[in-house]
Amino acid sequence: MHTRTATVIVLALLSTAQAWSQPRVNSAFLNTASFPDPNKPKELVIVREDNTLDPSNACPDIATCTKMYRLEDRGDTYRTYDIESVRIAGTTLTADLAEVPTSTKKLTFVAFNLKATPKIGYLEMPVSPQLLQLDVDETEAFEGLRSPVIVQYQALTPLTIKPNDERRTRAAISSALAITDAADFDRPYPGYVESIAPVGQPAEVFELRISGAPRGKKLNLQLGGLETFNGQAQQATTTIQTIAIPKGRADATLYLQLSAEANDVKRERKYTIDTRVHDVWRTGSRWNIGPTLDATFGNKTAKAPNSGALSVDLRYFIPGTPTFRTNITVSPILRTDRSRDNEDLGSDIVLEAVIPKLERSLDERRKEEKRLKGPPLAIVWGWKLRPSVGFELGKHIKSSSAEVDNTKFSRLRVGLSGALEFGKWNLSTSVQHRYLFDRELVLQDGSVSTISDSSKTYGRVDLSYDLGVVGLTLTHLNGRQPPAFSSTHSTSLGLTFKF
Amino acid sequence: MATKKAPKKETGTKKSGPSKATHLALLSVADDVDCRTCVIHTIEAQCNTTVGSLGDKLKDVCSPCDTGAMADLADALRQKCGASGDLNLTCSMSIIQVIHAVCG
Repeated sequence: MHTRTATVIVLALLSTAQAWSQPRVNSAFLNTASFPDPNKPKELVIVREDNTLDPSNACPDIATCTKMYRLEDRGDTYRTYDIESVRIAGTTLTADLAEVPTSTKKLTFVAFNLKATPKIGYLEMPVSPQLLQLDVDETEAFEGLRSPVIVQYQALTPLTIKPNDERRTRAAISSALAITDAADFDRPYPGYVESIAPVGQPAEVFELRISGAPRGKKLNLQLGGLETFNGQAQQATTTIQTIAIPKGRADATLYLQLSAEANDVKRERKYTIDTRVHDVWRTGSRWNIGPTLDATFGNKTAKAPNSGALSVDLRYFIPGTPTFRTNITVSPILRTDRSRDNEDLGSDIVLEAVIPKLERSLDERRKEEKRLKGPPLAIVWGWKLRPSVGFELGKHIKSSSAEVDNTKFSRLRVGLSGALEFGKWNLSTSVQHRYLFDRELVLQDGSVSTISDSSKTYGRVDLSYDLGVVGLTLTHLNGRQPPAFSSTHSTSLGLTFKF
Repeated sequence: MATKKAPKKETGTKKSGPSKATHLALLSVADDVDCRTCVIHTIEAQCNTTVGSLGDKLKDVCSPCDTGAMADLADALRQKCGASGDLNLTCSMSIIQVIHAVCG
């Protein structure tokens, strides 16, 4: 199996010694052990990014080095390899071995008293390929992207994958890939390597995008098929955390809330469906682009807003300061009511303010707590407050009122969205106040009237209890919103699906 | 010769104690390399926080971490530390990755 895997992959050693001396780019590994120079296969290089190594750690011959270091093969047959000399430069220790190790399965470099700042002392370091997850990008996750798991692979020796072999290499790694859930009796998941790319030069570090792992799981990942060392196929393992399940309406790619209420005394039935579908692509360093469908409909007795909007959001993040940032979103938008008697086509231009001190989610605060080495899980609160101001411009392309039909509209919109987290509870609210500059339609209990130079407010409050992909949500909607500005006043308890 | 006993340390824990110690150790490594120091100081200034270790992710130190925050940080690293124009940061990058990307 290993031989077959190895034959599919064409690995060519980098030939120039110049190349290996170039610094690595974008590597996430803090501690590495590798044989980076193909011209010197017995040269083992240990890098400790966190520590400056003392020059006194150097040793000139086998006799001196034996007292300070040991390279052990802890496999089925225990043995050690002689170290001829050790050189020190900054964070790097270079050991010249007397011979190339025959097996790297359980090869361990041991330093008995490594002098360094900060202090190290006794050190054991496996000499093997490493695998490390670069977390799925939560910025993108928050804004709706379905990120695959991204990992970096630190090879034992520099490799290059020939351009024509990239596809076969991905297939070979995919077939040797194992993703298992230790919490579910090692249930396996089919994984697929979407891409593999060297990170900088020389190619000691590769970045892989792996799809197929489910959301919200901590899984074991085993990866092989990329390299062989001294004729032996290498494998690396790590634990990965897949993309988190969204918390609410604002951060979900797909949000669906269904509620039904029966009142047998009044013989009333209320049904509401509340949905938001949103995705985002990052283009350039400051642009996000993505479509949004936002709709809430219900039957007559539910008094739901019965309106929906379809938009394409073009968001530009304006350069800001550490304490205050803004972004501007231009959205071509179509708004409609349930009967489609009233439709607005236009553009929203919204300026949003981000004040970092007012946005501290529970997840971020817990990570900070861990970083500061505080007592675990002492923090239970998180919050978010974000103001915005915008203009809505466009034309009523359909209206129940002949007076309003085919006329232009312009509205000033001031909004505030906020959230409060407490453990699994989440209280979120958003309020929008519109000032209407032009004549607009207002629906009141089926009767049509028009207003001008007036203002209307719409708000919603959601109290939800998070159960993962599903949640229980109590929602209150109140006020009036375009295009029909019909009266909304509803409270519903529903089951929420979010993905 | 009698030696003076060091005064007893105050009981109780200071919240910022361990983090500060880690931070100082981190800088002692970084002191050797100006570019590393520059990257760490710029991240700390831009994100109003203290970097605890080189393995910390940007999303852990820059809150809220979004496209705008990353673009602003990249601009600051270009101005102060001479990062290249095509530097593209994401919230999942670790401090060491940023150092490698900026300092090479």
